[in-house]
Amino acid sequence: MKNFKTLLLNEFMQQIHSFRFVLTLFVTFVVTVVCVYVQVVDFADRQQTYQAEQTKAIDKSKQARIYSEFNVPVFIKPNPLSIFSRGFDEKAGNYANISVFELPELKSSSQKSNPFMEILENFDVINIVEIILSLLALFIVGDVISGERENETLKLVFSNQVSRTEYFLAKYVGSLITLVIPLLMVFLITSLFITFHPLIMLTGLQWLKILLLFFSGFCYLSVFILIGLTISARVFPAAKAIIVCLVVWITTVNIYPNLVNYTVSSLVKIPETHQLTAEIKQLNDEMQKKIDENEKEVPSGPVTCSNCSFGPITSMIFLGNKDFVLRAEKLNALNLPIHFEYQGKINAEKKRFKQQLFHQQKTGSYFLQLLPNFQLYNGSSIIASTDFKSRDIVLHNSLEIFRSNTMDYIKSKDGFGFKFFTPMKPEQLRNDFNDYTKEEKDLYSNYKQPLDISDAPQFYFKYKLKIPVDILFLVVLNAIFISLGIRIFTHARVH
Amino acid sequence: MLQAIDLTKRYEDQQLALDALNLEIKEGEIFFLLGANGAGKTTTINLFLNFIEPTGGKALINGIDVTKEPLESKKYVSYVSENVMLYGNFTARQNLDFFAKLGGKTNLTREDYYMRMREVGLQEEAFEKKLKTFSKGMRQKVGLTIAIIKDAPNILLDEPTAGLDPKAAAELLQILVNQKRQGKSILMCTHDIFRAKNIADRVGIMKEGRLVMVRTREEFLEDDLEKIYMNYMQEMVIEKV
Repeated sequence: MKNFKTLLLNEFMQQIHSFRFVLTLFVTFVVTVVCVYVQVVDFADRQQTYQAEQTKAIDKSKQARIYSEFNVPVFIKPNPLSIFSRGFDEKAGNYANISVFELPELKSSSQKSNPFMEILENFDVINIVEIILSLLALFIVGDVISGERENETLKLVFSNQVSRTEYFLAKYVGSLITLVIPLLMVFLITSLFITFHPLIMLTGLQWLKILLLFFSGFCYLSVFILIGLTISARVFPAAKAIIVCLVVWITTVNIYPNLVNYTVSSLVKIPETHQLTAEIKQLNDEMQKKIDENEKEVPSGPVTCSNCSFGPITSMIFLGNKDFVLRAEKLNALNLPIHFEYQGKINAEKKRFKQQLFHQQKTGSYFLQLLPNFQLYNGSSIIASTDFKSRDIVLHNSLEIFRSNTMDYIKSKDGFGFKFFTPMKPEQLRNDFNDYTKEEKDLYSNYKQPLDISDAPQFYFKYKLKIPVDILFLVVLNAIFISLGIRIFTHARVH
Repeated sequence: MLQAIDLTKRYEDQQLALDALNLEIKEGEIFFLLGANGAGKTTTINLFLNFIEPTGGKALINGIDVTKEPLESKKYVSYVSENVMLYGNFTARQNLDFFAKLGGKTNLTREDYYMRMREVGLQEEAFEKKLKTFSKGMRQKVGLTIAIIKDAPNILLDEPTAGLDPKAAAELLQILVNQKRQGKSILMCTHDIFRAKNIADRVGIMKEGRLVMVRTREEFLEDDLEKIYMNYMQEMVIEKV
């Protein structure tokens, strides 16, 4: 390897003096500035929406006065690393309602003013590396070896004490150093945008994660450089090598993933959404039927009630006489188990439907696992904690745990009756009874005992650090392509 | 010294490119290998440079078997190709610097390169110009400078005068004569019989992978080399017809 340094420097100098490199820098700069600007503005919007909604959510939970009204909206804080790897940060939804009966479902609160902007908003920093830089990498290295073979420079090089391995590795490292420049540019521009934006504050760990994302991009580009060099070592002439590189790129980035998606969705069938809706409707009808039967079983008597409702389905008693309250209490006791039973069934149906979606998604990922772009996408979203598992499954589980804790809390307060959660002061409550008889006042004051809900469970979610296994796959893929490239070039013609 | 002992090359398609070539080029000798396209001239050079593996026999450079010790053997050989393209974005001096370093000459200064380029007749203003602006003749001169800078005892040239104007070709051959005087063994493959007559010490004619004739300078000057060469060429054409 005595000529490695000379070859490496030559390759690097050649690359940075080429028009293609200048073009690469220009394209990367323009794309990065535009995309990162849109990403940062979008993140700032999401951050502002989050802060506003969070304040509203806290107020709303304090206003609940009965268990069925206890509806806590949980907003998920936008992740600043989604600027780098958007993943499922927004796709999986950013808020959920924690209620007594229904399982929490993540929904999206944002309303896009311009749907066409979504194209840019979905194009994050990792997409720039995954799509733009990988294409430019192949464009730069596609004819590195075949071009030298074409103009016979390769023969001149190998008329010296240069081994094939040494030459291939020098070309690889030289091209890699060249392409690190636009990669570094992408990350530096993004970091500058983030640093100078008043709404974005990153922790030390997040900066460390950005470094790890840079490393992922580095490994990814390295794979494409190796693919390009291997093609260049095998395919001749140079123009053909460039075309083969482009075909490989289109296949890897577009054709193969789309083909897998199409094949998997054809082979692994999932039920239609309207089927789920129909099943839920059927269960609701059954439940309603049973509730109606209960209504008939409990005699109504001389009930007076204005502007009132009750029971697990509805929520409050504003005004009503003693008979009304007593009947409501009986019905509540009868209907509550029915309600829980049917909501359990509905939730199970929803879960089953979702699991089928996961199954389809998982089957597709088996076929995509070997693709470097899939590994980069998955790995970087794991690093940024915007991956599907963190954003949907783990978050969902946390929401369910939170809901379960909330239910336990309501039980512990004996809240599944007619007790109120209101944080209103007793004096204020008493003012509501001015028009009541003494008997009614006594009855209501019993039910309207204000409960202190300041100790209600709070939703707290922290993304767990995970090892980005996909990035390790990328490292392995690099090792495979290095040995494959050297092997192919050792047996390739130089003349 | 360059030696080929029963050197044979048969390609995967069973085409016999070189058939048991026996050849020895001594120090201070210029050997011209003549022959039609596909006669095996370039195959011989490729075998000496270990770009391809022989299917029989061996090629030796200064006594070193190029198949067994390819890297070691390349210490003792320089090469000039038909089309010297080099790196177009680099200047002539930068190209020289790169190849000089590959050839093991790591301590040369800018002035050393300039001096060598002057020796081969390159104009001063071309030294720091990008090679993509050079004419073919100028590029060939840079290629020859690379071979000279390496200062290897053997020089292999594959049709270096093809496409050059007579003046540029004559200058190039003069440089080879100077190299010969320094004791270099020179093997040059060419169609250019007239140049061969001017400077060759020995001439070999190849036909269908075989070295069918070798003449010393005295012999070929006496025998009328053009006539012999044309006869071989005609025979080949008749056989093909």
